[in-house]
Amino acid sequence: MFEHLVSSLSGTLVFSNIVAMVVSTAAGITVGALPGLSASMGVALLIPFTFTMDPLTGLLCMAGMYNGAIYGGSIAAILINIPGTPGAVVTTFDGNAMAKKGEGRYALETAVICSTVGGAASALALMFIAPYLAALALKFGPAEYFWISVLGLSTIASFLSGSTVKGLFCAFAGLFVSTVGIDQISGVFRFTFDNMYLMEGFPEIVVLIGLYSIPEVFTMLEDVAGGKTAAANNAMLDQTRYKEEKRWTFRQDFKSSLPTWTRSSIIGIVIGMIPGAGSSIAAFISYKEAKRKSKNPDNFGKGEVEGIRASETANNAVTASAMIPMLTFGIPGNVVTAIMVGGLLIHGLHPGPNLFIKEPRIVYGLMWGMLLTNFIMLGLGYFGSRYFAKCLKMPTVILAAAIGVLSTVGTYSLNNSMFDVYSMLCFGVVGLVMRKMKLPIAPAVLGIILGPLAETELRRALMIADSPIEIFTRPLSFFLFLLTLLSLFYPVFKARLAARGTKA
Amino acid sequence: MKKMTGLMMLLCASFLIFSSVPADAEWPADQQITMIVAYSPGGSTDIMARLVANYIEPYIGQKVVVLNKPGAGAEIGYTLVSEAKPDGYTVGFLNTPSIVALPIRKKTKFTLDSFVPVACLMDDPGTVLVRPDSPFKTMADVIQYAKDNPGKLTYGVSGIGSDDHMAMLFLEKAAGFKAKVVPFTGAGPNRTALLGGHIDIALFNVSEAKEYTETGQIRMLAQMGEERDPLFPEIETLKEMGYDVVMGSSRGIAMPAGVPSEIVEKFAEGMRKVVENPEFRKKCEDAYLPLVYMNPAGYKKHLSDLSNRLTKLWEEDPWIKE
Repeated sequence: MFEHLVSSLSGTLVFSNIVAMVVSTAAGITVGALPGLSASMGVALLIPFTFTMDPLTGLLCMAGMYNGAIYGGSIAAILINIPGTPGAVVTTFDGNAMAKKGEGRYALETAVICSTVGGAASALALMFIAPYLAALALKFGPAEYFWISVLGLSTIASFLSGSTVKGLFCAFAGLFVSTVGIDQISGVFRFTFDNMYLMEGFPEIVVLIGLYSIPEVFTMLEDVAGGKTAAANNAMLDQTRYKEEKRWTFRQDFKSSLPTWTRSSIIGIVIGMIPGAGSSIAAFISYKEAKRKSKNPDNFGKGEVEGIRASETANNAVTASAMIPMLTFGIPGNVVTAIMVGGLLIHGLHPGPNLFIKEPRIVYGLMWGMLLTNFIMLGLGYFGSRYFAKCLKMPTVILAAAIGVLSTVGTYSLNNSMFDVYSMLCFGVVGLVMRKMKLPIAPAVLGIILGPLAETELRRALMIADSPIEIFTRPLSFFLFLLTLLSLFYPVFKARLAARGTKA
Repeated sequence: MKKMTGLMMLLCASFLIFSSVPADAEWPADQQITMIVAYSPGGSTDIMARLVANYIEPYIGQKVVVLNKPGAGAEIGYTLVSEAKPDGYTVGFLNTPSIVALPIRKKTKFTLDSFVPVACLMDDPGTVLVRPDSPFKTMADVIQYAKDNPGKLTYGVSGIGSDDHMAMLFLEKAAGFKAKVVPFTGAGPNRTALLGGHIDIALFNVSEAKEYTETGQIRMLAQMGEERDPLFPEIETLKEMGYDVVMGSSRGIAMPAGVPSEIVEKFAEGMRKVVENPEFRKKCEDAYLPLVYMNPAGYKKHLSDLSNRLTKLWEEDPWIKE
């Protein structure tokens, strides 16, 4: 294996491949940063271009696009409070708060560094321990997927900082919205009102753009109407410049990041190789764990840098590990890798154990690509941070209009469907109302993303099981069940213990 | 770049709406042909459509551009094709069983008669698969077990109403047993569950199975083509075993009803040359896509036969129980 790794490196590092990686990573960052354009769309649009390329070059392009887009999502999340990709939802919590405090550049630099750490850790896992991880991934059946999604849903508790009732209301509303469409288990239509456009439900990305972009646009326009113009924004930015803009520094950040990097990378790698889960679940779970371990959990959501570290490390740690089941068994770990399988097939490459023997140059070359594009991303992102932040200096009216246009075009281009655009605008109004009523959006988003997974996997698990109790008693299920209980009740125990401590 | 693509697609769409071609113009005049694909970019149907679009250009002398209109289990894309102007500038990619099953299962704006079949280029038969260590050595073992233990055998399919699912419903009836369906979303998750030993047997198509039988990760018990697939000459078909179950997933090209037959013939001829093109063949064979060529009449018969069988199944044992 090692000789293959070494020998494939020279084949990977030819000039045309390096150019391909740089260009595709830059394109990926752009795709990720634009609301509505996600990693999977970027990779899908690349495929026709790779028909005529050398297969390895084509794969390196996809690797760059994938890594770049997952990181790029954080840029819009930090600067304008709109997650560029679903995985960046969690980054908005603290990232945007930091930008508003004038620490935008610090947030952007943290995001790119943590994304690189997570992505590189994931690529190393793919290179060195893929076969062991893959064997573990196969042990996950519907029952285990169910518990993973429940674990994800349990993180709602972390976002109930204000009112518990409001938070739960939003979570249930999100779960309800996710039931619209054809039921995957029985094939029955639910809440579709005989409208074919509702048959597959609302795509989560359409809901996300609506809930985040449109309210942001209106808030910006309100600021303009209220006289708070670009001049005020500039003044704020200039002010922060005078008092020395806060930056990422090795001394201040490196050591304090290590625990989060380790924890979040592991969470991302494990979630990534489970087919069906994804970068958003990894980010949510990792954020919750960071908050639980933190000395000042109350700062989370108010601009705590730890929140960005957790979210960005975990969502990029998903990327390469999602390829573990793809390369070892030919099973795509998520939508992006499923599209990549299509791209491989067209070159006559069948992902699976055979590929390691038949085409080691390509398999190991792709692994190198997953590792190297992280560092290209680091370069582009780190030096780009100062320029990204400048977009906030744009007159607010223009910025708001640009976001509106991008959101609309992005939504349309998902399925080439005007119905999606109208849905997005409706969710925009909902988002605006939620914002005005101080209803939290994160629990609703969690419900929409995880609801379908939890429901269908539970029902599938019950169909397979001879008796329903098996859902708890399968070894891995039992472990995940305990983990869920622990994560739910740990804060209660902790509070109890603390109370006893003060009494004594 | 993404923004540009979106704009380009908008442009293409407006071409579709606003373009009008003089009736006497020789097809294909100076206007590109739009191929509507009812599935998302990057999926296997989309990739095949894009390959066809690349290769057919020299044979018909006009550029073919792919326009993805995914959603509603392909109903949105099919509806658009059926409602397009029948001038030969809009063609659609049709997949079975969805094109046949949708109008049976629900009220749709189209029926099979809303299309003129042009050419079928792929027919991917279903198969029955188990893990190598499964106690089932033959298809007869599976059927015997299912008969002895009603409702206990779990079988994975790619989705409710997929060709695998319907094949099993036909087989249950033909062999006289009842088993438990476990629907997944696509062949990938179905295969994963089989590899992990979470279901007893799985059903998916030849193109999805070949790689895994070759490496010995999966064992094939039966195939469901009319005849044995060239990739699996040693595996018996269900028909040979005495069960009249022929099922698979085909892909072909159709135009909206009313397109003049000269245009249909000309496009079909172009398709035949694409299927015979060695480069195209190699790309498809490397991806284990079983190529066929059916001319307009043959394709029409293929679709209406399937429609008759599925209509009967729907009346007797619907695949969706509401």
